[in-house]
Amino acid sequence: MTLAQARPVIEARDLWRIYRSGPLEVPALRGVNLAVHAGEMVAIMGPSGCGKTTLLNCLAGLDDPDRGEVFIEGINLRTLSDDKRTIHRARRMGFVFQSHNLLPVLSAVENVELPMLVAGVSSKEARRRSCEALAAVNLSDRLDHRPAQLSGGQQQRVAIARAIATDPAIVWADEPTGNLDSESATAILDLFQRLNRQRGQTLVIVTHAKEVGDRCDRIIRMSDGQIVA
Amino acid sequence: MNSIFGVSTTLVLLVLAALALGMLALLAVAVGRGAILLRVGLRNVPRRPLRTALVTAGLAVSTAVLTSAFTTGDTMTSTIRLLVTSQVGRVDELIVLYRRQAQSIGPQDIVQIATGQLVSGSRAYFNEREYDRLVRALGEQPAIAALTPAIVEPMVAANPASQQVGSHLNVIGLPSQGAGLFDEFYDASKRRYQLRDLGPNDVYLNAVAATMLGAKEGDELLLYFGQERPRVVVGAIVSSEAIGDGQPALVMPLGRLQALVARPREINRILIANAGDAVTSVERSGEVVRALRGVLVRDEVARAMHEILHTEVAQSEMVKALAQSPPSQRPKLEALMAASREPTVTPEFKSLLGDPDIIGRISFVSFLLRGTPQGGRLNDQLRQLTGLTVLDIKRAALDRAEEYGAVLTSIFFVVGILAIAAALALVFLVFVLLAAERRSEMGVSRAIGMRRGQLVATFLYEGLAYDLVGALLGVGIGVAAGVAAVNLVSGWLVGYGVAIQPYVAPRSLAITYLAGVLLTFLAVGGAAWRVSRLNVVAAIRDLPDAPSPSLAALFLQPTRLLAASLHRPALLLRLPGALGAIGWRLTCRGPALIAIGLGLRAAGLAAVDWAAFALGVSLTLLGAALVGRWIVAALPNWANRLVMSAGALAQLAWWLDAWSVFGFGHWPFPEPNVGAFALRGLATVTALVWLASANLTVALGAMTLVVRPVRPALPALRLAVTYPAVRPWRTAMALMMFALVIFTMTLATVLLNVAIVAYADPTKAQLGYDIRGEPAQGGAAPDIRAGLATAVAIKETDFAAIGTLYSLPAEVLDLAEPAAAWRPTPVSLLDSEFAQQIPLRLVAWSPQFPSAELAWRAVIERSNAALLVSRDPITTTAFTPSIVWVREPRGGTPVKLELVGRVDPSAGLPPGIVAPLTAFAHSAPEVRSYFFRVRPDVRVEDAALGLTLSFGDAGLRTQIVGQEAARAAAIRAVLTSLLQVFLGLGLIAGLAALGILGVMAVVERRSHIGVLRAIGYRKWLVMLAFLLESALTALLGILLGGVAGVLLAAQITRLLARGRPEIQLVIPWSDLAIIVAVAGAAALLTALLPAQQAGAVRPAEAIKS
Repeated sequence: MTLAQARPVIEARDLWRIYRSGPLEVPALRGVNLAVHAGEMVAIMGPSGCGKTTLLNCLAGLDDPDRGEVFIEGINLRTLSDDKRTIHRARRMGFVFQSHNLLPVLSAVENVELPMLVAGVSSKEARRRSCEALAAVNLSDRLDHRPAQLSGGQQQRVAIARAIATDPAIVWADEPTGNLDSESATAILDLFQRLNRQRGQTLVIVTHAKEVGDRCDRIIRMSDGQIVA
Repeated sequence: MNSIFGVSTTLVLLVLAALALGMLALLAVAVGRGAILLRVGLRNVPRRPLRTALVTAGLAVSTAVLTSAFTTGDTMTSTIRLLVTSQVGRVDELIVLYRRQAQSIGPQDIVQIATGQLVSGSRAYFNEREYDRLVRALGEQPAIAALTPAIVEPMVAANPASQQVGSHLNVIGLPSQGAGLFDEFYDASKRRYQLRDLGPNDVYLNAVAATMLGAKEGDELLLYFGQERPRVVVGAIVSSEAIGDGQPALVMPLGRLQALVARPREINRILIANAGDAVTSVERSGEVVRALRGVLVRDEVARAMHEILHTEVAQSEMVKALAQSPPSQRPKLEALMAASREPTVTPEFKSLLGDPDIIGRISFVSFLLRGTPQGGRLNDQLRQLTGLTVLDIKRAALDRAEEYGAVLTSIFFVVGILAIAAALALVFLVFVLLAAERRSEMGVSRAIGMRRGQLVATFLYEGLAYDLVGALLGVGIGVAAGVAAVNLVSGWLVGYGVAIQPYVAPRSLAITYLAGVLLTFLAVGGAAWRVSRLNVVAAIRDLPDAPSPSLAALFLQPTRLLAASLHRPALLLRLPGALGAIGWRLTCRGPALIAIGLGLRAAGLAAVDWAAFALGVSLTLLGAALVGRWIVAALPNWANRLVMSAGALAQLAWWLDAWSVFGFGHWPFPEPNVGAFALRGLATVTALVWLASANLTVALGAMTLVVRPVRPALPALRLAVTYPAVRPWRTAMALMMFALVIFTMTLATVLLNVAIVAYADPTKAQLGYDIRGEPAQGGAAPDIRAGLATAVAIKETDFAAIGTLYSLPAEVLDLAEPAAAWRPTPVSLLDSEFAQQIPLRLVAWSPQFPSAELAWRAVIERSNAALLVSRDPITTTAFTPSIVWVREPRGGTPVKLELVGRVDPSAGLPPGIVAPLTAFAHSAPEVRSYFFRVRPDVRVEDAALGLTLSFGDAGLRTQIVGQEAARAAAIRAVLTSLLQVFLGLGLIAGLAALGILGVMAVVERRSHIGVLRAIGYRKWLVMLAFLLESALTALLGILLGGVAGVLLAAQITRLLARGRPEIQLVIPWSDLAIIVAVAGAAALLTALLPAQQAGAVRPAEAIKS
């Protein structure tokens, strides 16, 4: 079965998201249709304000589109309650954000094991898998460091470890290299690529950096809330 | 209320106003130099309306606590003033036959004022000619508006028409001519009546008496005067501003009443009204009393007294007496010494001789002069002095009202201090959180050129906006809470004839508003200054602040500045700042604190200042702990924890007086006042919070054991425990706030329980009897047994027991004393029925008796055994028996008694000796009280009325002891309830703190919540995390506050119990459990709001923020 024939792991149909501020309506997404297949590493690119992050939020179930449907592994997110959507997120998805968004009060290993504890994994198992995930991102020697004690690149690697520790089907990354120097950014992209190939996880990366797009299997270009290429 | 903590409220208001004006002037000057800062500050206010509302509410709390303290105090002052006016009317002074007990008005008199007994207490008669002599001697006195002879007699009256009987009606006799304003009565339609308008058999009734008797105009009343039953007709129902309308009164012409009581040409008081109105007349009391006393003391007695007191030996003894006098009486004695040194008798000297306090002091001087010729002569003259005396009842009662209100406010204020401390900590924390939220903005502001002072100014402007509104809100809430509390409890007192009307003086409102503004402004200023010390780059990039420079670098800085100033002298201006930084660092590290502490301790010892001494030692210990932490800084974390825990424990040991508890000694001087306990409380709570903070991981870990078994809640628990643990300073502040509130509630509850157990047990107060009867002053006591045999209204068989307590003025000689001498000592004698029926509780007894009961039995059965009544401290129940000789004054036959134990002083017997009546069979002691125990099938009220009807004319006044105890208990309960309602305000402060901190935490952690939601935390889990965090903080705070409260209550009880064996620590566990449950439940409810907010955070927006 070819990639094109397989059922897409992510599918968006006619997505609309409109931000309202008093009488003013700003359509951030305007009828987006999209399909991403399992194991793909996709970049969503476009100028600032084109709706990249909004699309990612809607696809990941962090935000509700005003119109349209999102299917993740064949499940229509609209049919799920907030709780079920959250559980689905915890079990099948991982997130990496531009500003790392680690909890400053937790150590690296505690940050990584948090989603697993939420998913009901035992503390012991969660700790074991967290250590593995941190080893996968070459941070075995920084387990007990707090975010403030790590460099930006290291923090992002912890965020990636947190994203992959639950062995999710999809990893969402929003400008994962936006806050990093070029050397760290390259290391992170290497890591993404390695994980994608070794684990077969689907990666959706929102970025405006050309070098990130170049490392992906496919680039989806957006402009004014629509996919243009 | 005119004073608080002894300081004039006018002065307090002026100082506060000056400080507030200074503060506003400073800010105005700063605005003039940069209006943009004001705009920046003020425009921050509407940014987040909910947070603005919360901050304002937080600021309002401290002002509300202050205001409610003042409202309560003002209300009590005003209530007592109104009571005084309604009871004494226009009577500013009374002239009665000298009665020692009448010299001062104590706390118990509040009940007496309420029931009118204060005015009608003394009934000893004297010749009406004394009044004529007084009027002649006084001459024209513009300060006196009216002066009239009078008789006031309590009497039983019945109204056959309504079948109502009144047992405590005051029958007042006033002259029909010349009574001035005392002869003015008005009915409901304001029609004026005078005594001469009365018909030959008519009387006036006031409204209270008319209600009591169900009487109306024209009704015939039956008065009970001995065997006589005169009938009178109600001429009119009237009111009289002059005699007061607070108690039931029946007024008739003096001559008719003199005939009824068979006292022709005799009166039992002279009423004096000063010039002015009911409120202002009291201002002339001093002048009038001086004039009256100058006239009442006879010239020859004054001359004789002056002659004695003028002698060298008397002057020398007066110096000794001065040293041993109560502080309140020293000025009078000093004035007497000065006047007695004058070569002749002065008006001032004569006036002083008429003062009952001075008579007491002169008696003491005569005791010191015993054995000398002067001593004997002084004693003789003293007897001449104890004739008529002036009592300035209104001034004394109003002073007492002021004092009582001030004391109440002070107590509430002290209790409130802890709540205010909690509220101020909240304000401080709120602003620190506010600043933390705006850290990057502040960093940018600094980067574009804003100086630190300007940053502080913007915060101050913003804070002032919250402050001015918050304090106003606080005043409103405080008044409303105070009024609500007063209204809540006033209903309970209506049955006892005491009406409480909420009142708050405008001056009090101004004080609380200004104090609220200033206190919160200080807290805002402190917080602003603290957060303004930021590293610009770290703030902009949201990185941790760079570490402070090393101590070595700080020490080098002044040298560098001095060196550089050789080229640039302007650098010298930075020198104070550099030296200040060194001082601050040394304070934070400990050495400077040790030095300050040692200095304070020495100063405290030198000035006998408890607070300075205690704080000095505490600071020294704190400094030592900080130095210890500095030393072990390089060691693992456990060493730091160990040192800090040791420091906290040392503080606890110091403030809780641990070595004294374990018998290693006492503080070098006693604690001065309740304020000391507030300091101890604050310090104890701080030390406990310190201990908990040093071991926060352990403490929180222990608390999570409760939740741990619920596995799905574990992720929430992880966060709930982690956030407080990694922010120990902030957690400590939150703990402190909640612990302080619970501490005050616990402390007050335990201490009130101790007081109730010690003093509010009616069985103790009434010695097991139902009715107490007291014979008239100076009259022969009625023979109760004989009277009961013939009485109609009551039978002897209505009583299960009738006991008689006699008093015998005596002199006691204890040969075991080093300087044995006959000393005046009151002796209480019990008749056999009293002794058989009512066993007095012994607090110590001779080892020859195995139990207190056997010691008591010996006193009953042997005629030579006696007991001691004393309030001196005791530490053991073992009593060393001793032999004393007792005789009537000046040469009676001595009786040998063996003292075999000590009586519980709460039994109400005067300090001295208690012995069976049989030991003094040859003496003629006076009856002090009769005690009646009613049979179970007889109503106590009926028996009391029967006794009054049968023996009232013989001078017996009855009092239902249970009612008396119940009335006292009701008043105590009201005060207790007021205090508890007030403490409830503190709880609201703590809850507000918890809620505000929770909401601020949600705002601060918004992006974290977004991430949590993104990685799979469901709404309820996020809510649970916040809920658990608040709950754990609240629970730990409740635990710490509760423990601190019980520990300090135990210590205070131990101090109070010295000399008061009736005081015992009885912890009301059920009350404490209610406090814990209510506080815990309320905390959870309060935490729901922020938790719900946290759960409602939309992840996509939160991550972006």
